[in-house]
Amino acid sequence: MIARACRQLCALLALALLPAIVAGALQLHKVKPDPMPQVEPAQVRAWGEAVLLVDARPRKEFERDGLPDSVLLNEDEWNALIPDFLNQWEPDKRIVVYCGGGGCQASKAVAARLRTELQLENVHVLKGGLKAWRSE
Amino acid sequence: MALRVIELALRLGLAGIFLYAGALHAWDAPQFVMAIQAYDLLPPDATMLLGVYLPWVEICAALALLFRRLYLGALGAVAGMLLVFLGGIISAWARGLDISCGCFRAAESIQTHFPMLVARDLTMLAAVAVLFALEGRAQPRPAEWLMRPSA
Repeated sequence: MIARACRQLCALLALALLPAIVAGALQLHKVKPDPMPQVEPAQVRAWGEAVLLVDARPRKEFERDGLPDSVLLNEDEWNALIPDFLNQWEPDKRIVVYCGGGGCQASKAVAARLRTELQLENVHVLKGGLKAWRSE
Repeated sequence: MALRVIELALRLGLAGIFLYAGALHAWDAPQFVMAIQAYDLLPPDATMLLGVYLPWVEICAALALLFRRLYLGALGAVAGMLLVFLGGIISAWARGLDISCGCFRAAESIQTHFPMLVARDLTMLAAVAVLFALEGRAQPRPAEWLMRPSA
């Protein structure tokens, strides 16, 4: 039974290969490499005052445990929060966007919008998010 | 009779879940690739290959379960995928990642609830084990073959 299962498994995996190759040829060009630079918490601390920290999480989480001197800017309230962000922003400051933990997508999404919609260049994503910041 | 009903329910349930997940992933492979990348376990090239190949393994395994063709292979594939998913989920949970699981819609905005995901995958794995066991029971044993009167 095990030998039969292995043979059938190989056949099944081979069967899946053909549509996967076709789909890959059609779709994979849409996958773009992640161009967003990520910075370690230690690097951000070394930058000192010349940093504007942006919290990309929902308001409730920001109010609960957002970093001091950070500014809230998330996708849900983008238009409402932009004026406050611009008030805090200074051209010579690096922008570091964070969300809850490593791998969360909110910080990348907000950083990407800051780059594309506001044409800001000095935008970074905090590697490991808030968890990494607090663990160091 | 009861065993047949259980077998049918588990088989159709698993086939439906994997067909749905596979179709969603295959439809939007780039999003699925990004969901895999968020787990931060594999190099970018490997995530791209996996993101394109895995949905079709899910679909083929689901169809094989549905139509009972290459059945044991399909059960093996489903068990293998569930073990891989469990490993990824537990690893992400242990590292404190705040990610979308990418289980169905790749760009799920809801926060991942890791214990629930682990419980869900373990339940499906148990279903696969039951199907394996039922299939094993259905196979005639050598002793039974020997005891059968020759035609």
